[in-house]
Amino acid sequence: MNASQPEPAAPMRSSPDGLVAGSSLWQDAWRRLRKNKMAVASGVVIAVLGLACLLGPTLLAVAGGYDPDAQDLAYGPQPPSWQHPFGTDFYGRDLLVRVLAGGQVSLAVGILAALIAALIGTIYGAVSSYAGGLVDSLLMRVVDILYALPYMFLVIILVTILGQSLVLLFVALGAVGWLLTARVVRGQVMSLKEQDFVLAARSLGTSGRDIVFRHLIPNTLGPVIVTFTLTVPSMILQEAFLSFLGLGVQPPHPSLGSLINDGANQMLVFWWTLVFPGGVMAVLLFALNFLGDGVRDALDPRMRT
Amino acid sequence: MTVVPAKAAPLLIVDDLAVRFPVPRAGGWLAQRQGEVRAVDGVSFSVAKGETLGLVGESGCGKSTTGRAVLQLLRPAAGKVIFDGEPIHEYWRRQGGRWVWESRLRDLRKRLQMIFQDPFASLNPRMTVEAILAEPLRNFGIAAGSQRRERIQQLLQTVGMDPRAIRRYPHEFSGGQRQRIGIARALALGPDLIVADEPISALDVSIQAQIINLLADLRERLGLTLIFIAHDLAAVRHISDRIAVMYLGRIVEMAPAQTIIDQPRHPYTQALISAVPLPDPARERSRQRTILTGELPSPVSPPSGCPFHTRCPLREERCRHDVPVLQQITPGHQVACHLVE
Repeated sequence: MNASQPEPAAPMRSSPDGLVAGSSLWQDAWRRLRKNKMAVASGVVIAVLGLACLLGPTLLAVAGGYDPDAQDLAYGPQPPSWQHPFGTDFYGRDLLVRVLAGGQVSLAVGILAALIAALIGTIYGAVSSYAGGLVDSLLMRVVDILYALPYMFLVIILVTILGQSLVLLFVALGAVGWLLTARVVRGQVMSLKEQDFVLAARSLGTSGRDIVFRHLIPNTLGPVIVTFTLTVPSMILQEAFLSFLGLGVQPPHPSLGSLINDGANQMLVFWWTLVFPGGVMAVLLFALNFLGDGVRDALDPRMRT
Repeated sequence: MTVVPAKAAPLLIVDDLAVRFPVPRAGGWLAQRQGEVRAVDGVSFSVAKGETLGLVGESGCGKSTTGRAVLQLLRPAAGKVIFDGEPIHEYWRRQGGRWVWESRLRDLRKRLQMIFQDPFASLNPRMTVEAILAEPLRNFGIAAGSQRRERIQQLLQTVGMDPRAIRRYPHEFSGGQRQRIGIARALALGPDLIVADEPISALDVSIQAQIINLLADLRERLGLTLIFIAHDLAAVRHISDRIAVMYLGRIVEMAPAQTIIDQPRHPYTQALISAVPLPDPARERSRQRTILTGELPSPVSPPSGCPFHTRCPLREERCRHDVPVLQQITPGHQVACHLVE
């Protein structure tokens, strides 16, 4: 057999520049994700809610003069009506606008805190694992110690020390939330670094930094994304809890957590002040968790078809 | 098969090479290092420029470790590795408690390369073919932009692949095609010495011949020196000029390929040869086979004396106590066995 004769390749799709287009593992995963009805529906729900939270308060302010913080004490708490679909709260503020504005805060906190957590966790875990030996032992003991401390307690201390601002809330939640990602990534890298492609990279003269950032971290992105999508709802829940305790977003600015807190105090009389923020929060968390599960399944190589 | 003139200066000299791995006993991060595996022990050979040395032995005999230690992908515990006159085993320095390459050893990556056994594990699944082949070029700042792409496409052509495939990912190729990509990557820096670590044992039988032929073809065209590692003799006999047989971290017999096949002297080599099936059914039926009994001893606690004595059909009393040394019995034919004088 002639060794230099090209082997027949799988059917090729040609792209405009004459090169053969490849389908990456991401494209495969995307294709599988689209087949998952629950995940797609959740994605749509999140997109709609996200857009509503992002644009809703501004649009309502421009179109109808709704202001989430404007009080009208004489108007008092009103049950849902056409003018105020979610009703109004104790101070006569429109609850729909407040829920949307609160959702904005919750989503921003959730996504940003989860991003910070993913970023710190991925780099920490990958470096720790690739360095190995004593460095790895020391770095992971730090994680163990932080893990052993009550999580919420740490956040409360951080928020108390650093003061109460929205930015610090992201940082406090993110700074404590990276532990899981660090462990997940370290475990991944432990097995990845023994693979031949890492030895091959070394044999080709690739530096340690390039091995970590070009070879190891890209291969952990699957689990990192899954951890991320499941961290977002948990961060939203944490923020709600902190706001519920009065440590998060400060009045008069709303967040889903503080709205639920207000509503819980008066739920027997003014039921709508709890049902609407709580309902929106529940729908958002459900959708985020379903999407996270969908992403996990889509990225699982055993699900490849 | 090319016959290498004896006077050709060796490109690679390996002298008394040893590789040891620490074996931690019991768990816990404070556990003391106890015991060690002598993966490679006292291995010596040389390879002339343009020559192909076959390295054969069963799983766990240290042949892959030998290959990696020769390329300094592992730091040898003892012995010398002289490549083109340079003592490359000395090109290491300690940094932060671990051994790292000196910059001249990194520069030698251009001349020392490796082909891996598993074409699925040795290519990063998240990289396109272009990124995989661009990596060595980028590491050494060779070519850039459109020149680099041209170079990559040339490499693909060299190994018999469609150069338009550069945007594709490893999982879109068959095992044989992936192995060709691995070979192209090893060739990217224009190496002199390539260690091929069981490059065909993970492939379908029908593809094995293609890859062997490709390697033989590249060796002629590019003047490569090859160390070809395999676990069966049939795979290496056609491509190798000389064959070294390893057992438990040591070379037990080394001779020109035809001599090993026709006149094996070490009982282990004889057993290996007798295990190769013959293509002719009539001769296959009458084939005399030496069946080895017992398991490969653990390299953590190797047997005393001759490492093979626990399984040797011809063992004598002295085999238990005295370690046989590799000695020349005819020019170019070395055996480590007490029974061969």
